[in-house]
Amino acid sequence: MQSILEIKNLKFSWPGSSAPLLDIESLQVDKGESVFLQGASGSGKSTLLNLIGGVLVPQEGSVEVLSKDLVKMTAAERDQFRGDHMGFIFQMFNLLPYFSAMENATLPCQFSKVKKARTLASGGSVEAEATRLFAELKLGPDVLKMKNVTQLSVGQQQRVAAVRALIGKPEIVIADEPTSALDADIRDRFIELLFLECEKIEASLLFVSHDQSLSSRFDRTIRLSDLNRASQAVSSDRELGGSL
Amino acid sequence: MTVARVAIKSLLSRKVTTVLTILSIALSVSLLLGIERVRTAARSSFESTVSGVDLIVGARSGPVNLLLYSVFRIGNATNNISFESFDEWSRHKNVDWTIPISLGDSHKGYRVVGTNQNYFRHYMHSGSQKLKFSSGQTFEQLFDVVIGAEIAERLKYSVGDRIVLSHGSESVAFQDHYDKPFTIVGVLKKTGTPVDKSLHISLKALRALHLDWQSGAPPRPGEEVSVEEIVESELVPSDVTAFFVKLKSRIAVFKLQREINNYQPEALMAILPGITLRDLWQTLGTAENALLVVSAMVFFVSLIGMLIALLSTLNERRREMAILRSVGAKKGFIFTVLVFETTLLTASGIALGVSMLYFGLIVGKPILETKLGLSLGLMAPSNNDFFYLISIFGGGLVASIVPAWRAYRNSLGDGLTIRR
Repeated sequence: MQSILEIKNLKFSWPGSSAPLLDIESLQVDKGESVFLQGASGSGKSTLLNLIGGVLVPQEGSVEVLSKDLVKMTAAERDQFRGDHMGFIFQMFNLLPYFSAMENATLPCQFSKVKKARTLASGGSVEAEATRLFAELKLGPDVLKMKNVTQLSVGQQQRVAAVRALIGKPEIVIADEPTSALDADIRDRFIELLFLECEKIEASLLFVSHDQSLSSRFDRTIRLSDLNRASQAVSSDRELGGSL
Repeated sequence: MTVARVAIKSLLSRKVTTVLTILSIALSVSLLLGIERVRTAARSSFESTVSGVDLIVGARSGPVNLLLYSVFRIGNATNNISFESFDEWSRHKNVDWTIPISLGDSHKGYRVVGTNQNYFRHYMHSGSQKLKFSSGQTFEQLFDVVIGAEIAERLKYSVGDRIVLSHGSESVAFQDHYDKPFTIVGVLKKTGTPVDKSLHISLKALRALHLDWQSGAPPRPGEEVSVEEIVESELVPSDVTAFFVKLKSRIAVFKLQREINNYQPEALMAILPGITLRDLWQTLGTAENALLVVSAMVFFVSLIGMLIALLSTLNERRREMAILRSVGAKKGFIFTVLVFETTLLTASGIALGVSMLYFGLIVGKPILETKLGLSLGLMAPSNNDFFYLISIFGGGLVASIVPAWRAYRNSLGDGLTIRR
């Protein structure tokens, strides 16, 4: 299996803090694999995502995406790389309020020539491909026409965000608590559709959540607390302090 | 392209703030340029209040004081000069013509000027404009009066109306010359100078008004001289307040000034109006600069307003920035969007401000001309104006760095997710 993401000996601490927040020996995600990354809030999930996205750089170790080490890139190269090969969905407020659903969904093609080229290759035009994805995610033409995306329901907004993450066939889709603002039945439908589309474009899915109940559908579940040696040190310290 | 699209759409999504910000910049721009216009117009109208006069002669006091009462009809002469002196200098070999100015009476707060026909023949303002009549003609009969444009307009007077002059120059005069009413025979055209606010009568008429007065006091009962009793030959003016002198050749001006200043029979002073006008304007220049400082401060405040408007939305916009970063926007993009927004706001503000100024000039021109006597031409922006506009634009650009830098820092710290 070709690995999409490979983290080795990563150490990250915020400036001014001596203790590392993240200390990960190894994390690997294969091509097309869906990984459920479980972690409590404050455990460093967001920081890890920022490291994978190339917004933050670790003090030690490597973050290889598609066999390219983000650490060795310049900031601008990392930004470009992120735009070209990754798609993101966040918990809430994923959309630019002043853009229409279509404009929001096609935004990545404005920043990435790679995504734009792939979109054109498969759909004829960026809008046509977006329209197709909207349909796949059960978003009707009424949603497309809607000028003001803030009038959409949260479920609809998340699906528009999913279209944006999927457009241009990124190799890795990163979803950060995308369902925690959704009702249970909407949540399940959303995850189902997300899985379906990721399979179609053969994208790896890194799904971050604190909600363990979702983990059964994924190929693999990783607990950040198991992965992160820094958090183990903190928690054992706490236990020690508690017993004294 | 995307920068412009994001910036414009984002601004439009905050319509109220955007419109208010543009409006506040526009107002300060039009205020700054408007003050500049009024300032230059005021200066040029001021400096051309009297022209074509080489010397102004009055009793010895300060040059500015002499200029103020003889030309601007502000304040009073400390002393009058004798008619004999005036007569003698009028017949000097180098003198082309003289215009006597005799002050002291008023009508409803407007000064009465006793003078002669030379006033209408030779007085010039605003370069080489002579006085023109909008109706009627100069005074011929003893109790004829020629009034300035503003008086005719404000008091709704026209040729043929009869008015009564008052003794004294304060707006509340103590004593009216009821027994000797005047007939308006002429109304002068607007000049934008103090002439508009003056009533002109002959020196003889001024004398006639005061024939029965004794050393500044009204006639005692029984001593009044009625109109019928006035004997033409007795109407020899005893003094004048000041007089304007035009020389046959300007070369002699300093020589004659010296001669007048050294005149033995009476303490006289001759001033060059152009120089004194400029001196006086420089004294007023402090007020002028204060105006400029105020408008600069207004602009400064509106820049701060723009900064506040932009900075206060930055917090809400952190998500926006994170989203843009997540789809591949580089760090510089965020900075550029903010700078672009500010530039757009400033540029729109300037454009609107300039339009507002010209609109205001078109609408306000007649009002300013009639009320203040200021003529504001509809000329294209001057170099000075462009300097201000460029400074404003530059100020906006510099100010834009503050929110742009903040947004940039925020987006670095926030990364792809906003910590709530």
